[in-house]
Amino acid sequence: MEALNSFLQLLIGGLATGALYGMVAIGFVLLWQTSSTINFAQGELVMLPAFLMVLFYVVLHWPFLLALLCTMGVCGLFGLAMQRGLVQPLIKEGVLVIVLATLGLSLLLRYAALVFWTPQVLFFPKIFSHTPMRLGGVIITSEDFWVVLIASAMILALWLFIKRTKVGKAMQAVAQNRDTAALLGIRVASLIGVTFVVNAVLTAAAGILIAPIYFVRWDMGLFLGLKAFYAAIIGGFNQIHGALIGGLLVGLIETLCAAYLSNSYRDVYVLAFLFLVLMLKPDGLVGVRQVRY
Amino acid sequence: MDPGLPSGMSSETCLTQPIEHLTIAQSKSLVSFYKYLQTMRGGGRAMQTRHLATMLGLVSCLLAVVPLSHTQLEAADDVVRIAGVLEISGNGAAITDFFTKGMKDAAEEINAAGGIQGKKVVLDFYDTRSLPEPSVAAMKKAVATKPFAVMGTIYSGSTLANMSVAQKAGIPQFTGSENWTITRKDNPYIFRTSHHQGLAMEVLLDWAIRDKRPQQLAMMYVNNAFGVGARDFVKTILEREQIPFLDIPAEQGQTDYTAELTKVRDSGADTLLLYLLEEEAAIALRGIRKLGLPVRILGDNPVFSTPTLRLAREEAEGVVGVTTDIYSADVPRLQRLVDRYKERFNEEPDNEYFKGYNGLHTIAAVANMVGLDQEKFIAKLHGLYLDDKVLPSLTESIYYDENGDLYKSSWLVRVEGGEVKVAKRLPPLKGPGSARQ
Repeated sequence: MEALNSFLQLLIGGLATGALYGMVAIGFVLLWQTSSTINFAQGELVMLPAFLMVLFYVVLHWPFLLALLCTMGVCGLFGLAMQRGLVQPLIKEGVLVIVLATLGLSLLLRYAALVFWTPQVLFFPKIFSHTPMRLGGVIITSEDFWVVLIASAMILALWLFIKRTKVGKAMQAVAQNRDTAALLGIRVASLIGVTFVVNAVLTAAAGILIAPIYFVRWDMGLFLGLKAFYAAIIGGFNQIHGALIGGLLVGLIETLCAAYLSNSYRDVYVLAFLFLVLMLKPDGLVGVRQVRY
Repeated sequence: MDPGLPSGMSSETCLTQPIEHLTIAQSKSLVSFYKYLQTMRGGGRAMQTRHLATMLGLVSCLLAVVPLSHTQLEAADDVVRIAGVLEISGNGAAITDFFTKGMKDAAEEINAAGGIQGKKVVLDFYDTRSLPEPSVAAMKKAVATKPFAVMGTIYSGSTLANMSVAQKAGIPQFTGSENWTITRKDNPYIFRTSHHQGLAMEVLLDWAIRDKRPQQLAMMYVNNAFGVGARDFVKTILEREQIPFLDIPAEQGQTDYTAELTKVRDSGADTLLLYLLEEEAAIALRGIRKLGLPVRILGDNPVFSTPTLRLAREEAEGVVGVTTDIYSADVPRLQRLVDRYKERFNEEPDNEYFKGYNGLHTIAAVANMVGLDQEKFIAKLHGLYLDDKVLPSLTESIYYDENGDLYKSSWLVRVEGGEVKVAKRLPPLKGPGSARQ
């Protein structure tokens, strides 16, 4: 019974961690699905709203809702600026150039936070209660519950948006073939701008949920971005729900293997699984083979 | 032709090599690249946007490395250069911030009092990026400027990697690291700015066993030179005391401790020793409270540090440990520093602040005694007792033994009401006024 309780406890911990990775991974999948771009500054799009919330909510003492709305607004504008200033001029040059440019942006944002704000780790107040609830021999907090629920809700909302709305279908058309989409009257640049804004706002929501758990630091985006990238590849880069599945798997593998095998090779297990997925199913566990023109 | 980055320079090179470390070949490539850009200025839009991407990548690399390894050179004879080879970026940035503030405050006071041998103290900082390999490069760069002494590194893994560089250059090195083997490498140039971990663990476990003998002690430690060194010491002590021991390694930068804490719970250990870095300790403390583990929690310096308590003040309640230079210690000189720091930064200084502060004052005090000859300096410092009554710049008296280990009072502390309260002053284990005299 003890062994079962321990396993269930680890399962809950892994799922909660994985849900956070999945929320960040959504951005990779969304941008790839709708604009064929890979954004390696995705982790920093988590760091930026976390710092903004500290500024508005903790330092300036604004009401939580106002701070939240302002943070999401600023992040949305940043996403648009990123698309117009960085991605749009380079989009015709191919994915690799955009990867390099977003890597550079990631470095810029990270070290700007270090140099111009603080190297210290900042405290962020709890959003959900940390009071533990005992379910049999297993302990869960409302934070664990809400994180998994919100991640699932985000995925579902995004999936419905992409698959069922006119704008979402237009985004998919742009991802398939930009020139043809333009010929069909779709305003490609504007649509990609909308994609980046949606990504920035969703990732801001993820950042605000992550901040109370992992605290706010200048390089918090580095490991989160990397884990989210693994999650997106494992789940499937072209399926929205693949982000959550990949994230949950990364969280579970990390936690369970650390507990039952060895903690020293936490990242190795995830990378080994990633390698296995790439060898056996390169499109991801739930990804589908796509032909782009 | 797409020039991309200059030949021999990858984005990884940008990340690991400061601009000042470019080889001649790389510098020539960079010049050629810029000349190429000039000739292609009239090129088409596609070429120009490609250049834009490459330039953005380069500018970002430069922004990342240039401000972090900036050196101000003044005339060599007029000043005494002290190099700070420290974790300015990377995981160690937060604690290094305190250390450098301590160094800067000490430098200001030393210069106000006339400097060292009448010369102004100038600090030069070099970034190790909190990694051992770049720390060696940073140390090489630092010793090339021929400083009188080097302060740093703080991370034990980095110090073990770079200390031979300072040794070969004959430059005294004052490290903030606590791994106990650092001063057992036949290096007469290495000195500490705090106790080594073995001393702290000996004192802490001695108290814990006398207070309430553990049925089983579990130790969660960071799996690097810092944590593994402490683990070895603790294992030896517990074997001697015949107390069952469970060691649980955790990785640096880890963000979830469910697996480790589940092991602690399943083991039935009644005492848990947390030997993690600051942020990790805060996350682990939250996990302990969440799982409701019925354990007595012991900790070392990082658990009582300002960053940890900023992040997990409630969760740290009841944690007991041994630390040096804690802000709540009833030492008048220390309290004056604490008050000054709080006025400026609105929080208490961390232990690392006092390491940097006392370390530089020690250098100044001894150099003012013997002059700027480094061999005479190290000969004087080995076996030297610095009395705080004679040297008011120090927060308290210190003693350096023949290995370069530092001995001073430590404090048995407990977190109560979110504050670190001192329970007892523990005398130094060596030197005048020691517990073993």
